[in-house]
Amino acid sequence: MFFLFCSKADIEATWLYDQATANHDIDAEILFVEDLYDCRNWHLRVSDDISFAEVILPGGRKINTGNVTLFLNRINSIHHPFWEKKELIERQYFQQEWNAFLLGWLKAFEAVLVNKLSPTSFSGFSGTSLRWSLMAHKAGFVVKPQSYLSDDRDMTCIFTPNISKRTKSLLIFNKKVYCNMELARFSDECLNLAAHCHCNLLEVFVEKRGNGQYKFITANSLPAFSKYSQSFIRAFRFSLIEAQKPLPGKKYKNELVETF
Amino acid sequence: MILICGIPSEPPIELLTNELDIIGANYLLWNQREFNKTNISLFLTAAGRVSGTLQYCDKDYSLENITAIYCRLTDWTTLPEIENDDTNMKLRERCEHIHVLMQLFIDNCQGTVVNRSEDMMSNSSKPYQMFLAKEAGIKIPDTCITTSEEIALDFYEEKQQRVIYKSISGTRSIVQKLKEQDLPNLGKLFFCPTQFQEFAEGQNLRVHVINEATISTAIHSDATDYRYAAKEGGESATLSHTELQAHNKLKCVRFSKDLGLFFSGLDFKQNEAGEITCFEANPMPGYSYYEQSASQPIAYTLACELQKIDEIIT
Repeated sequence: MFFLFCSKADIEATWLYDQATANHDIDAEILFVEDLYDCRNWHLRVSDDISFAEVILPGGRKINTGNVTLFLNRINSIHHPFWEKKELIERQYFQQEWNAFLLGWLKAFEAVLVNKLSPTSFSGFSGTSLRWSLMAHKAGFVVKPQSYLSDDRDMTCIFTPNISKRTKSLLIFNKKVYCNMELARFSDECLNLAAHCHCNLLEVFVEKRGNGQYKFITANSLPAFSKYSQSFIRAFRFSLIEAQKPLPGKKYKNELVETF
Repeated sequence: MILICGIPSEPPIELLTNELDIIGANYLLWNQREFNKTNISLFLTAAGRVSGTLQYCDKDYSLENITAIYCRLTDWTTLPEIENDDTNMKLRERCEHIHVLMQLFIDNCQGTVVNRSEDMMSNSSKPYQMFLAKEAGIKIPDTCITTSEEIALDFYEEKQQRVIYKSISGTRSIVQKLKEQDLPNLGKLFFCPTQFQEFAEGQNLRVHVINEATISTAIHSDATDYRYAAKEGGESATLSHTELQAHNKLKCVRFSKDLGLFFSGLDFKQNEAGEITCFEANPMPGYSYYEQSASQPIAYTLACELQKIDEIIT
């Protein structure tokens, strides 16, 4: 089963879900974080010989480590509605507890998660502009010099890079790059970067400078899917179908992790 | 040069700088409370190098000369200079900017960092750490985290009613035994998952891993949570040096490396057969309690490791 966990506000994720399941030939489920409140039995069991995670959806369907074959997670934190009206300290504590649980719960699904789990970002690697640029440089990209001074009034650029109208993007999925012809020459750099940050799914942003040279701007593991070609959708659908095929001697890929 | 970041009077920093003085290491202690005497310029060059200058107490230090960092920063919003003057927005902003830039440098410094914030984040989820411990070949306690009253009750019965519960996140909580009178409260789990664990028999053990070295401390206490032994009405815990079996030392080093930590404090219980079960990895261990109670050379070992790195690179 393909399982997508996202927010109702995440139009890009729901668009991908609709496209991927349009032919009704894929076993799939979607869970919106806003519906979390109605889910029963969030459960994680881990010991020396058990790794099992499960949630029962509002309709009664069970999502667990035994039946999910591909898991796309787009949620990085949980704001449970029950705690939203409580005092700040209490709210923060319970939010930390939910997030800690989610991180452990997702770890149980590691074998089928699209992107490698990171404690800093549950949907895949995330970093400051400086961190991304250092990784991009190692991957072979030309990077923009950056400067930060303690007298700067505005520090937002550390975390949010400036994406302008001149910025163009490339999508990496399953070691293939989806982009327009002009950007295709950055395929190797993109694949290197995706490998460095352990992301199977990654969006990379580059910008053409005055001299015609492209420079790396940033990357993220929450791509806007709808702007990419149908060839990406075909590849994504193919990966879902492949994931649903039983492995020799095993019913599901995730059975590589012992369950009880 | 080694950079030490934090508050000089904080015991782990004080112990470390004392040892660095004794061995004659080349270090700079940046007191975060002196953020007003600090300026930072940080650059990423086109060649992909992090450079810049730390101006501190009227002296300039090139960031490229920093080979190793020990970082034990206190949350800047709790510094007395800020807490006692919450109307001075300019001072607040200054303090925030200095700390943001210092952290940015620490996390992206080419040298050895003890420890980078990204690597310390595993501590935000105990079950996540349990999985990593398991991958490192370390035994873990049977753990059940759930929002379901029914599943929690089943686990309680399965474990013959010998179950403890504690927080899931890195927020410190008192480990407590689940008792019969707690069971009616399990209905509240629906609003927040809770971590239940089989009660592991044995002696508490703290293992500090410093690069490839391990220093182990045995904790003698009858309390469920030895940190709160006196509060539980019992005797305070007593600590003594102990030696781990060689294969367990290797597992600890591997686990710490897998977490990306140069220095860590691992919490275990050890049974009579010498088997160790892991509960948690602390990425910023307040090691002074163990060092002073069991007379162990934790600060000295850390100081020597930092000096070794500094000497090799410079």
